[in-house]
Amino acid sequence: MKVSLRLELRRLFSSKELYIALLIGFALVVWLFVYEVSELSRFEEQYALYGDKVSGYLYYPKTVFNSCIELEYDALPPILLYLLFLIIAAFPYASTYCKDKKSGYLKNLLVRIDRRDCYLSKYIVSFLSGFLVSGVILLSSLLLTMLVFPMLTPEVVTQNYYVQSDNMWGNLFYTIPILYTLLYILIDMLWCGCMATFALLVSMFTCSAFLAVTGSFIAFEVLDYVLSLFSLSQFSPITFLRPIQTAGGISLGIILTEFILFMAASFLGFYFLERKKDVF
Amino acid sequence: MYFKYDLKVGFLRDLPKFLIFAGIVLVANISLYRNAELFSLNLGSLDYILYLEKSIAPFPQSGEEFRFPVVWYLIQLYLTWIIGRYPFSSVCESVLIYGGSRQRWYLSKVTWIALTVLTYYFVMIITSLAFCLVAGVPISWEINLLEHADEISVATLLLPIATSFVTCVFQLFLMTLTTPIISFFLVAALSAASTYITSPLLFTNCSQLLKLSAFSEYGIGSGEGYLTLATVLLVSLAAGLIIFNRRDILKSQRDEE
Repeated sequence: MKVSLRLELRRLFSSKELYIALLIGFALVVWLFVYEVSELSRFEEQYALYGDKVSGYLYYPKTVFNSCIELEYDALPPILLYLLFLIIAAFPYASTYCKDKKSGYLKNLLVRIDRRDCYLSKYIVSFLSGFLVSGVILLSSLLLTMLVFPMLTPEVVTQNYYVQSDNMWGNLFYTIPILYTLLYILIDMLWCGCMATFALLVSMFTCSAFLAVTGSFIAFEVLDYVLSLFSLSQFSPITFLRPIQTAGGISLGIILTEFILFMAASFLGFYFLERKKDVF
Repeated sequence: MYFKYDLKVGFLRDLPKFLIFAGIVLVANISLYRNAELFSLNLGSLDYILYLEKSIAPFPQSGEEFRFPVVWYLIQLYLTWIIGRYPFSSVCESVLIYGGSRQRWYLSKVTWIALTVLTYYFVMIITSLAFCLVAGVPISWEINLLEHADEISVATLLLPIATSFVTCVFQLFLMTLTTPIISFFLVAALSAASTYITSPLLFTNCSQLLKLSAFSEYGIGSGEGYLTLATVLLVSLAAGLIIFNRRDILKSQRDEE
C-alpha cells in the first residue's frame, strides 16, 4: 500500500496538470485582489469628498470578510472560480486512470502491485488532489486579502455582507467570522476532493480523459439547473459550495449527507466494481 | 475522406447526446410554461425559443441585480462539451498520412463543427415547437417575452447561431494550441465572463439576446457583433491551420498519454 501510495503521490506532484490548476486558481485570486484594492482606493477617495453620504449607504470599511474570494459577492473572479471549481479540482489527477488504461500502464502496474492497493491509492490520491488544490487556492486568497484589509467583525446593518443571519452558521459569521470562513473552506476542500473522486467514477465508463474530467462537471451543472427549477438549489453542490450561501435553506445536514452519498457511490463503484474488471 | 469519417464517427455516433440536449430544452420550456401560467403571460412559440437564448441584460448598466443565466450557460456549455470531445480523439500520424493533408483534416473538423452547431439549434427549435404544439401554445412570430425598440431583423435572431459556430471554431483553435480539457475550461470561463461583462471583445456576448442593442439600451449592435465574429473566425482559422501544420503529432500523443 505504501509503495503504490508513494508512487501515485509522486505522479500527482510531478504532473503539470496540478500546477496548471493551481496557476488558474492563483490567477483568479490575484485578479480579485487587484480589483478589491483598486475599489478600496476609489472608495476612499469618494469618502474623502462626500463623507458618510458616499454611495447612499452607511460607511463601513471593506474587510477581509467581503473581499476574499470566498466571501466577495459582487465580482467576476469568485463567480468563475466557484462555477469551474469542479473542473479545477478534477483536472490534476482524475484523468490519470483513463490515461493508464489507454496506454497500458495499468497492466504493468497491476502485475507488480496488489490490485486492492493500486485502486485504493488511486482513490485516496484523487481525493487528496481535489482537497489540496481547492485548499491552497482558497487559503491563499484569504491570506493575501489579510495583507491589506482589516479583520473587522461584520455588521448586519451595513448591508455589505451577503451572508444572512438566518443562513447556516449565520450567527457565527457575525460573531467569529474567521471561524466561519475557515470552516467553510474545509467544507469546500472536502467537497472538491469528493468531486475529484467522482470524476474517477466517470472514468470507469470511458477511456477519454476529456470525458472523465468534464463529464461529472456537466452532470453537476445539469443537476444544479434542474434543482433550481424546483426551488431546491440548497441541495445542489454547485450552489452550496459558495460560502456566501446564494440559496436559502442550506444546512450542514444536507452538505454532509450528500458528501457521504457521493463518496460512497464513487468508492463502491471504483474500488469494488472497477477493481474486479479484467484489464488484460 | 475526412469528412465522411467525421460524419460517421463524430456526428452520427453522437446523436444520442442531442437527445439529452432535447431533454434540457424540454425542461426549460416546461419551466417557462409554468411561469407564464403563474404570471398570466401571453407567450407564443418564438418566445419559447428566444427564452433559451435571452440570458441577462448588460450588467451593471441595466441597474438590475446580477443573476447568473443558468439556462443560457448550460446550453452553451453542453455544445462546448460535445465539440471538445471529438476532434482530437482520433488524430494520429497514420490518420494524417492516410488522409494526405493536414489542412483538409482541419477544414473537415470546421465543417463538422458547422454541421453540429446547425443540428444543435435545429434540435432546440424543433423541441420547443413540439412542446408548444403539445402544450397548446400558439405558433407565432410575435415577441412578447422580451422588450424591444424596433422590428427585430432576422440577422439579429441568427446572431446566437453564428456566435456558437465561431466559439466552437475558436475552441478548436485552442485545442490545437493546448488540450481539449484546457480549451473546454477556457471557453467555459469565457462564456461565464461574458454574462458579467458586456463587450464585443468577449464575443460570446453576441449569443445573449438581451446583450444586443435590439433588446437593450446598453447592448452591442448586430453589425458590431458580426464584425467581431468575422474577425475571430478568420484569426482562429488562420492561426489554427498554421499551428496544426507545425504540430508534432507524436509528441502531443505522448503528452496525452
